[in-house]
Amino acid sequence: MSGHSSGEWLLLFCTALVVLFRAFALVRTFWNYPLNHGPGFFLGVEVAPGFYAGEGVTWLKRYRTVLVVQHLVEALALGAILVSGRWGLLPLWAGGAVVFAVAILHALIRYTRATLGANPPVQSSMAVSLEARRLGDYISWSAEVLMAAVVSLCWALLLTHGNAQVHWNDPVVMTYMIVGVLPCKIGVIRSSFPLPSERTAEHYQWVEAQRRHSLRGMDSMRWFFMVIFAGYALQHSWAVANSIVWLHWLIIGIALAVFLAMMGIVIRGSGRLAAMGRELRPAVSWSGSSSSARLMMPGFSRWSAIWLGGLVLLLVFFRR
Amino acid sequence: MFLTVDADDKRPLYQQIVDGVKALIARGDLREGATLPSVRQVAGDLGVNLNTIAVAYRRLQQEGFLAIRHGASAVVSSRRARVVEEDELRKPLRTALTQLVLADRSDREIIAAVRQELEFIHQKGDPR
Repeated sequence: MSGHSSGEWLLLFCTALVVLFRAFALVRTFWNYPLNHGPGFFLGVEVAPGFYAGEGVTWLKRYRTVLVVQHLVEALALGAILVSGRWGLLPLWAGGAVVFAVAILHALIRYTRATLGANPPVQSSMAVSLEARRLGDYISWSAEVLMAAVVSLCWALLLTHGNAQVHWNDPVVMTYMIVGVLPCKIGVIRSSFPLPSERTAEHYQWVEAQRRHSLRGMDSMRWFFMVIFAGYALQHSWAVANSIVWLHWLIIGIALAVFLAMMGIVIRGSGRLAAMGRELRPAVSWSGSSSSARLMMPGFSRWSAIWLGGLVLLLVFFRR
Repeated sequence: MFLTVDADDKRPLYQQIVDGVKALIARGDLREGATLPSVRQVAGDLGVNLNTIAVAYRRLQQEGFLAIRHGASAVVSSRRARVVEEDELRKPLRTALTQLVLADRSDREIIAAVRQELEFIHQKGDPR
């Protein structure tokens, strides 16, 4: 174990945080995810009254089995990486696990949609908000400039004073994690669902809350990676930094604080969204006369898929 | 503030949007200088073609309710339609009244219906 570099220990630390977060999300969010909109829905698909007293039990059991198997596969892969000592594969595992989890959840929702909810009710009446959504109302440009400045500074440090231990794939991937999310944010702001004509204001508030929650989650993840990147740049460009033990721990402490804040934001926000949406008809449960039922905001799903695909490509490319 | 469109409505979608925006202006919900969302935003949110919304906005612009600058947002420019002939203004009213008469409504019922609609128009923020 002592043969591992400080960079690999940092990777292990990040992976431990990811594992902690995933375990928490499994228990708090995903275990009962199909029931998020109350007993009238299963994974957003409208079900008959009494569903959970009958066939719903089997559906729920099947859903949870898939969830357990998915986490077991991830755990086995992680165990194999740790035991083999190839800790450099940890970022690939983390990225792959997220893609795997998102793909499984999508497959489950799509399967449910195709079987249980093959014919969603068509609502002839739809509403749209006349509030203009401007990027500036959702994105803090000063924070974006600060992020760009820190990323540039890190690159400048590495390019001018970087030592021989710099693996250039690390700064590239971290920059991608920080900067590449901006188009996803813009996609989230620019897209929305048509709103049902009943309880329109409440549905609108829920969509707005979901939008702001997604943006906060993305931003906190970006800040987390920025702290990691700043620490990486310092350690690989300033020889003295490696001998200052407290600096090492300070960076880990800040990263941990940002990570815990991110967890807090995601957990609190998810809970509030679930409470707000419990009485509302989920967007996936109905289709409009001119639009089909939507799993999620189209801009968000499109850009997230592009971003995740890009991340996997980068990780695979650098592992070759 | 919301705009509702209905697939069962006989009017085309762009006309429903034109009428909906006009009703919001008439009720005072949309005031002069208020900014409307972009054509792209409304079309994306409703899941309809960009052209449908663009036609509606252009119609509102032609009638003097919206000011649209290329690349900028649409802004409510007036609470009044451009000056039109009295006869032109009354035409849709005449058509609606004819339909009510043909539907065998008495004058009293028609007047009550007109009064009710007027009250609705002046009732700011009514979520009907």
